[in-house]
Amino acid sequence: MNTSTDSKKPILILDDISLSFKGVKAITDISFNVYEGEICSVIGPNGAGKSSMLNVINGVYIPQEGNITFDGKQFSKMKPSTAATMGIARTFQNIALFAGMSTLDNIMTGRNRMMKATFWETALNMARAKREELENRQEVEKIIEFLGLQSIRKTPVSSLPYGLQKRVELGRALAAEPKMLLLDEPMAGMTMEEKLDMSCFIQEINRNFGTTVVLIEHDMGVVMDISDHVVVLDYGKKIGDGTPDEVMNNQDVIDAYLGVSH
Amino acid sequence: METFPSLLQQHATQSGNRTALRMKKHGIWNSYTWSEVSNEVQKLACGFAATGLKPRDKVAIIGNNVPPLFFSILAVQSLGAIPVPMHADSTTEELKGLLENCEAKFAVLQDQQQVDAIYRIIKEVPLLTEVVYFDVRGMQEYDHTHLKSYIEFEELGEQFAKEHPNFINDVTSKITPDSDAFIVYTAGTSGQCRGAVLSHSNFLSTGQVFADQESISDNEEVYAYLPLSYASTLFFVYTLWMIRGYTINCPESNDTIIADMREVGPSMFYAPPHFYKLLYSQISSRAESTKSSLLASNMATLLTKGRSWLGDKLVFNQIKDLYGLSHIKHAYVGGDVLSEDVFKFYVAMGVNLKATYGCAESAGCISVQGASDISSDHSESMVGQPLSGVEVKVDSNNEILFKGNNAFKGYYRDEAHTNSTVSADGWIKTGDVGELVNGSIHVIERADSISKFKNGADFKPKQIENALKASTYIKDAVVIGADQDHLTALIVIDGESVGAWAERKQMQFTGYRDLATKDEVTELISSKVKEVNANMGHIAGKDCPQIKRHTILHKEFNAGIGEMTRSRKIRRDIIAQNYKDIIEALYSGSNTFDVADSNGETVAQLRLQTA
Repeated sequence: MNTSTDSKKPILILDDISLSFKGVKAITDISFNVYEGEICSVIGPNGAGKSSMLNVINGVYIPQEGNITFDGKQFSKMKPSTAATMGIARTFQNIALFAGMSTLDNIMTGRNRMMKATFWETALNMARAKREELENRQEVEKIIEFLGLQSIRKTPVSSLPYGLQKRVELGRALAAEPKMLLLDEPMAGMTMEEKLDMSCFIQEINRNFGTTVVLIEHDMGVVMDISDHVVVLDYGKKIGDGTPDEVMNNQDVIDAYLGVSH
Repeated sequence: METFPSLLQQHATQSGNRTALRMKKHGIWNSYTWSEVSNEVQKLACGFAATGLKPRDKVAIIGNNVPPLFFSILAVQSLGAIPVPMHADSTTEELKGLLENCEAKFAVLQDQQQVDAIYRIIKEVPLLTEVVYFDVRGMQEYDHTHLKSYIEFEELGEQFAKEHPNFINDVTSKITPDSDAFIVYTAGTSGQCRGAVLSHSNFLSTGQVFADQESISDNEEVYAYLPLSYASTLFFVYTLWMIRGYTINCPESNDTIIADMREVGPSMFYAPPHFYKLLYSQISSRAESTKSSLLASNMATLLTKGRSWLGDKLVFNQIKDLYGLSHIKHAYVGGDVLSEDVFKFYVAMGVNLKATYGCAESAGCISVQGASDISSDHSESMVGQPLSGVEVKVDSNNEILFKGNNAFKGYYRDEAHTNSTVSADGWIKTGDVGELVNGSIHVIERADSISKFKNGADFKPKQIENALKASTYIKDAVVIGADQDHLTALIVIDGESVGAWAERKQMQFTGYRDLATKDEVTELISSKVKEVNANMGHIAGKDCPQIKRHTILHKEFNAGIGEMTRSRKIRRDIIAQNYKDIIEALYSGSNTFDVADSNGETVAQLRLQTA
């Protein structure tokens, strides 16, 4: 667990972000920081703007107003490719894997930004391409071991159960050796056991590799257990920001999300 | 006469560059040569010595088959201490019982899961002072006062070796063939586990005879997937390894056992019946679902007419390749009887499969099938002539007794039970009922499973259960009839092959429980029970009544709650207790039985069938 967020260095600063789609406001004036090495959860009811927020961070949506600072560099608009090269990796709410490819190959694609060999070098299997393939394969094998995917290394992902596909997707994001990992509802649709496995993996990634994790989640129980820092959104606005305890005792949050208690 | 540590030294000096051990890690098979194994073992042994392990101390060894586990066993033996292998998936309660019983001073563990299990009980087993683990994952936050990683342990060992250069040679030279080599806990179908104390020569004398008789060479590739906590694994994997110096291959993880077996393509393989049955079920399921009937028709001819050149070329060579059986020179099955049909299938396919017979008290092996046994009737349960140096006889109750070089020293700290098992003149009870046919042992039944009907006549449930289990669709069966006038059966279906069958019939189902209560599945199993009934005279004697009623259970038997032993042998008394209501319903004549969960809600309705 993180000690105090004050002493920590922010890795991501969101400053007065507003996003609207043809006049419909999805996000209004949201500012918050994500600190280096923490697990930060963004929670809120359906339609609160959580996924939009993630898409802004990752450069899929371009906000009309506001600035994003990641790792000391300020952007008024982030591009997905810039996000990737700067070390932001993500998973998707609806799994987005290459269905016909094996677990191993899917995770290998996550290594793309580390590969320097040209198209022709790769096509002709020249020395540099070969060496790169081997080096990257070794890294991928470490991830396969870490996530316990050995038995499905060569299985096409389309034939895997949902929970495992989610794990493969996490593996692909990890393969990019990200500074920050964005997880869009990593536990949605999972069984209790799969949820527990997934939260263990998230915590281990955070601890062992020091990766900052930003996750969006519905399952409050899981969020409160593993997060250092929770941001609560409602109707596109930020209504809470703090440690899990602070957020749980915040009256606005209780009213909006957890239901008014009597 | 040799000991395990002296054999290790021999291999290291005579064939130091040969591969001793392989394990798949990160997708690649990594090898250790004999001299590397010897180095690791020496470092580790010094590590043990540095932390206070003394000769004759007991060390619990708990984990899957990974190279450090083999190194640890050898290191403990090199110090004259005694390794006590235990199951990696033992419950905390089981572990506590075993650790207390064997007075373990050290525990060698694979990973966090086992460290957690041990930490829950460490205060209750005060004799346990040091814990070593292999896998560092997730271990940073533990209190490391009495907990060391394998690497730390080796470092301690290196330091110790520098200060005491001749230490290992001195201790190892004091070990005699008669020193204790292992304590092996017996499977125990009839209750509590007991630790059989076995010497180096118990294993090595029969191992040498076996290796010579069966022409086991130093070039064998052996696949080690079974836990070393079984005496049979210690014999067929570890002992023969030390005698011959062949190569052991360990699977990457428990989930990759079948896939890795294909990559290894072992030349020698030992497994219990359920593993052979599992492969057989997968192959037949493939045969039935394949669009071309080539495989299916060939499997049928194979069983009736034997092998054909064309069948081998077109079908069976591929099947063998797919399951890693292509290079098998020696395949052994033991621990229980493999159903006749399954047995014949492997033999007919050209796999040199032989039944073996042994128990923990006999260091894992008493006999192995010879050529005459395989061609005889009941080939699956004719387990061969005793190995040279071992004698076998059958007592007045038809119980099989043995004595010889492999005879154990007794149960650890259980003199009463030792005395009731070993007679004054050294004959040891096996707990199996059988006969000797021309000097070959024919195993018929476990002594404690033979029961009596109300009218006093005997029946042998296990033979009938084995006949039921010959079906690929039936995973387990328990035949009941004690103090009744007819037989009933509880059946556990094989979820995988019945599932595949249901898919071919385009049936909708959610899982095991749903499958087990489907009309079509009930009918499928009933037809198998009828087949067995039709052969009852052949299976269980002409006077044995038929299985009158049976039902498919809503769940599989669970080793975690004691319904089976870890080696998947059923425990009749516990099953009779756990399924008491269902058994009563079978005898009362009702047609259905509602299974309720702990809240009293009905979760499944079993069909009670009359055959």
